[in-house]
Amino acid sequence: MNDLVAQLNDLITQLNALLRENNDPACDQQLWDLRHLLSALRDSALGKAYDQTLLAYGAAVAAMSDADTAAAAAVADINKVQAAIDKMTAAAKAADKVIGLFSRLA
Amino acid sequence: MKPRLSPLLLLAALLGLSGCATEDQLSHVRAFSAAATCYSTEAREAFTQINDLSVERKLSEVALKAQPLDESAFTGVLDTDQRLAARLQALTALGAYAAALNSVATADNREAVDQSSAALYGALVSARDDCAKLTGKGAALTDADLGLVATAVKALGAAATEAKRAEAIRTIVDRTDPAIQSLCAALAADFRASVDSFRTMTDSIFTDQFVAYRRAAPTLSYEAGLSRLHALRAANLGRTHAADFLESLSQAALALARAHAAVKDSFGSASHNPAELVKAIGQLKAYADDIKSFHASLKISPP
Repeated sequence: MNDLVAQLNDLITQLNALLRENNDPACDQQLWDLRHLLSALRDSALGKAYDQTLLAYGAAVAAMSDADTAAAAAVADINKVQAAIDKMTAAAKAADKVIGLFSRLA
Repeated sequence: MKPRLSPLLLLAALLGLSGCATEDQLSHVRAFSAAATCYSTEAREAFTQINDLSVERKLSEVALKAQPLDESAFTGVLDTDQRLAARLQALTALGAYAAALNSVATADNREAVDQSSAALYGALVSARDDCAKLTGKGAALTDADLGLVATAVKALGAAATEAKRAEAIRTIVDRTDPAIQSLCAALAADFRASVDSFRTMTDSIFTDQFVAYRRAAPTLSYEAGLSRLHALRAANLGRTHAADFLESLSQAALALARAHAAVKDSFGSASHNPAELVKAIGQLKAYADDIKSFHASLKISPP
């Protein structure tokens, strides 16, 4: 498919060169008609080349979406470390208060 | 014998945490994320421009009265069968993935861990002193002992964070790599296939402008003629350089795939080669910079 696209593009480029060099309106129209036809064929072949890769895009969207979810969970998990340390600090402070209370009672 | 809390126990636990992410690894993940984000934006723009240019080429023929107007003139080469939509959706997903990966690599609670550690130390000192008052005995633990405990807890928190981070990145890049490889191969193929056609489309539009100028030149004033010639010159430059942008995007897609594979290996493979990782990330950054400067200096929309 890409070879066909390349050949058509080559022909269109040659027609463009002729159009720029030529200065005969009657002949120009024939060149334009031919270029129009070749361009339509090229667009069609290029479209088919694009279709050959289309499946990869759909699969990638699904995989990326899963990865985003995993990443969000990982960030939440990392933040849990902080929560654990906060709990440890709170436990130490609570112990401090209990010991202080006994200290005053003694 | 002086009783001691065992900070060594905590340190031993700390040492037991393996697989922490190094700063080098994280910087590579961040570099990959930044380049992938840039690529996602530029590639979206490029696909839109390819499609717009395929419409512009047809409109140019109609404006020159070389072809009659029909509805197909407004349909771009990527407009049918969800071609453009699927590509834009995938590139949006790539950008979101890069952002998500970056958020894991940059999630930082070190300051909060430091604060908690300081609070823990204060609480331990206070508890130790109150305990001494209660029992009437001297302090069993020195300030240095308690400092070691607080420091060990702090290090443990930081190490636990890094271990979780490394595990998360390893899992994410490992699972996503096949999709990234497939996506990048498709992007590289698409842009490579577009290069010649893009160049030919700009050539056709330039040719139409060239002929239109030649037809109109006898009736144009000097100023109007010069203005049209300036527009032609810009179109000629665009014709020469615009397709190079797509070639760069094709190469950058391959570099993106190599960099992702290298990041994956750096987190999971025993045969990981740090030099390969540095090289892959360096190439990717170079392409990303290249593409950004390309886009900044070159307007590739239709002349």
